Amino acid sequence: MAASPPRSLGHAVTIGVRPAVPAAVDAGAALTVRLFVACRSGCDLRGRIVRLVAPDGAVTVHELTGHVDGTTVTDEICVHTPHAAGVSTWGLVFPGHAAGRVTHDAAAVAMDVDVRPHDTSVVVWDVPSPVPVGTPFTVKVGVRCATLCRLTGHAVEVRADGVTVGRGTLGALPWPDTRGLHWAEVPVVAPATPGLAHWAGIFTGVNATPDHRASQAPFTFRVEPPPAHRVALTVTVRDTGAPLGGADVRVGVYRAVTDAAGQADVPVPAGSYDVVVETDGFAGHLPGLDVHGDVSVTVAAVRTPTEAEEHEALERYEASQWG
Amino acid sequence: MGKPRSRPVNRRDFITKGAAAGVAATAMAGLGATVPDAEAQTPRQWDLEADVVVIGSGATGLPAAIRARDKGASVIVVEANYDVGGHGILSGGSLPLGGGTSWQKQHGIEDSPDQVFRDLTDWSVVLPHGIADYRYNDREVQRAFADNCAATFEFLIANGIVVRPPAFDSGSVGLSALRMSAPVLEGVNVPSPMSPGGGRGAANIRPLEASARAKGVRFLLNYHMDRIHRESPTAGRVLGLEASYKPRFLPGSTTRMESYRSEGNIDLRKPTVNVRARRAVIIASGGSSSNVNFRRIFDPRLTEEHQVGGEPYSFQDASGELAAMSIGASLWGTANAFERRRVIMKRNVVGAQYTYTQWGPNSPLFPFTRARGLNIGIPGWQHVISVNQVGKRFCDETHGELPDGTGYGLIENYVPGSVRNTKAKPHANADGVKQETPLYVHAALAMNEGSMPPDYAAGPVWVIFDAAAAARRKWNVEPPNVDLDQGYFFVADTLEELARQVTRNKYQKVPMPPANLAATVARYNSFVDLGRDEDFDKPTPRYKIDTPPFYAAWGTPVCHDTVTGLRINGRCQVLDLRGQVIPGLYCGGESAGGSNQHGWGRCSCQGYISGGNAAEDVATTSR
Repeated sequence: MAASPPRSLGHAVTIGVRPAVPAAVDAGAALTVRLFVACRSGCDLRGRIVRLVAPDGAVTVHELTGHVDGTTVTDEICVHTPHAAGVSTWGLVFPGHAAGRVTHDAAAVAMDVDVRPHDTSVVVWDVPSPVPVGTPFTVKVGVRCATLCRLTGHAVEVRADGVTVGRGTLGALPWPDTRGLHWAEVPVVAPATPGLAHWAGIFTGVNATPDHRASQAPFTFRVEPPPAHRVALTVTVRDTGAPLGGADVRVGVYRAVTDAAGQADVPVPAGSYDVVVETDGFAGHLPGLDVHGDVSVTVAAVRTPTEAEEHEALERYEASQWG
Repeated sequence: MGKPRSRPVNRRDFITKGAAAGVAATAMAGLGATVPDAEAQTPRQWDLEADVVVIGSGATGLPAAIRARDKGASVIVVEANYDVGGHGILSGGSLPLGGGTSWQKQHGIEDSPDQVFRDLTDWSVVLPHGIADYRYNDREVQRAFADNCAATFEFLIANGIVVRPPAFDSGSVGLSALRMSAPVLEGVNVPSPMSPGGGRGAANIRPLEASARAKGVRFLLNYHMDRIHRESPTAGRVLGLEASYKPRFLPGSTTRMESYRSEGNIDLRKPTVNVRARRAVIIASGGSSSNVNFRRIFDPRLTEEHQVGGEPYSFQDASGELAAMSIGASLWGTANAFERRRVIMKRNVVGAQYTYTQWGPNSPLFPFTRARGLNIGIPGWQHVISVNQVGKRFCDETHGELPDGTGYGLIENYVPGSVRNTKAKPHANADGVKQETPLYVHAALAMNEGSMPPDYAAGPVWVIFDAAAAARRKWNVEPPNVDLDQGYFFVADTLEELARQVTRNKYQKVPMPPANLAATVARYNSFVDLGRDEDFDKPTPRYKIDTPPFYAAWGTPVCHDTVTGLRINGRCQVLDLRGQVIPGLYCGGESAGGSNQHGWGRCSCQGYISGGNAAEDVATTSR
């Protein structure tokens, strides 16, 4: 019986990327993937090639080297996403071929990927408060990229009501004990009028490569008239009259710590202030101190439970703990 | 082995009792109970038997076992854990017992059973937040407590407990007399297996355990009681119990954990055993704080994120309550469950899963607990903020806890029963700790934007602070103080990064919006500039949270005591829903209702009462 002439078998294939590329990826990210070609008949396509067309039109050719469960794959390849955020399109082409009686159809697929700018966040710290009106001071502004990009050399700003009032450049080393918070010391000048200032530390992301989102951190500080007067405080223990050193004192929002003689000088503007004294085991309060010139006052602090005493009292019925 | 009693179930029994059992079974199934069917009440074979079988070996179980043994009964204690002690071994161990104890006489303190009874039922004592301390106590149960209080104390001393000054008082043991004494076990830092949590409770447990073993009490450790056998589902005597083998292993180990002492241990490893109780079963299983479904009967807010004092050494899983309810027992005295500090507590220890006891690396349980926790102390709250699961503050962080109950000296010119007491609300406890109107815990448990149906749980509370606070307070924010691996402590360069990280905690069911946390901190920092907290009136907020890195420490309130449970009478017999005694079934301590007291007082006293009565139990259904 005569054999029928051989018939060309045009096997259809599907092509793609493993693992599947997420719908959204970070700009400039490195993705490790394999390109695959799957023949419906499970044909082994090792030695054939696949072309990868990057969003900028660059074409790279990759050989299919492995065959598992009816699918032929390339070695792992590293693909870099564009630095610019936005939708980018990748092309994948299998040119097809004919080998003896078997042919494989060509196939092409386009893959849209949403390339995201890197998230950033800002911290502002070491902000003095209160600050006398019109006084120069500095704040620290730090920026962290969510993917830990080194942001050294990028600009940060301090803005007041949208107006830039200070600029700095992020330094080479991250702030101590942080993973990647690059920071700058930014000189600024306090507003000319008293009140609570609402400013913000800003990272614009401009010129950052790959693209980074802008971010900001609002911060506040108190602006006061210049401290024209001096409150000379002496803090004593009420029961003994002994000086109380190392006590925190607050005259309104102005703070100081008493010396060994129980004394502290606190410069303040004219006004009426509550004086509060606090230290472990003692507390004192002098309400309504009117300051219209230099003034000396003594605050007698009374005994209060120490931290250790309060803690011991609370834990009294509970377990004494392993160290 | 004894032969089990059994009788056939006729049609009338099935209709009148089996139908009731079906209803109970349906209800219990929802609480995770193992519910026997009507024809499976009695086992085909008893594996062990004793006159009295005690479920649990803690502050109630050990006194019950010893008392029953003293009365001539043979006793088996069935304990789910690898060692004795339950929650009681982790406690501070203080003994709130009065009524004229030798210790009170030695210190010139006048007291009497009548005085104890009057105190613990005094309607007029009102806590700072308006909740009555003693009003809802069951009077029959308190009368029995008062009458047995002094005897219990002497019993404990006779069985090896040593008490020494200082004496102090608090915790709902009445205002007429100083009643709280402290046990002493020479050297608090006893070898770790003796006290797995390091607590003074070992000073009570270990002497009692030694006494029990010396007197011939047998211990079936590693067996969890799953059901109580009764002649029929809701009638007849209690016959014994069924327990299943539940050995414990440290993570990564295949070696079973073993008890500190072994004399009297029953060496069994059968998957299931049936233990016959010739006279009685005593439920001393420690309450329900570890059973989320059960504890929510009394306070639906106590969802799963709230960890439990006692765990991971002891689990107060409501097994006693569930087994008893499956054979008809009633709950009782549920009003006591509300507004008590120890039911739900704010802790000064943060950054670890288990923060009631601080489990240090020397504890044998440390492989379970993984971190000791960071103790920020009371002043620490001025240096942090607390935020809910969506990154928002909810209260003045320095705000106090729910009141701890009243005791001697808390109300000036106290006159029992006087209406004037209601106007003299105690403002401080006996130790001088200020008791404020409690808001913090309630605010922490409040619903928020992240609360999802059906439970609308509040979710975790995170304590947020910065590097400056850690430096000021000299907080060591490294392991083993904090649990970084399992998501109970996080460090981040910015607040936004910190918010993203907390989703790694398994109880953080919703993302914490980074912008929320950043905005919350910025607003709080502005309050520091202003010198006043415009949202929650925290007294003169002093410290900004602005210096990187930033920290989020687990600070979710913790469940502790159970102050409601099974209905008992003065003899500690369990009563059913019709108010009838369930013959042969007793209960005491945190699984029993009718008492508001915290700790060892009621536990040991009801152990003493139940053990004595169980040893002499005769078939009776009358009260």
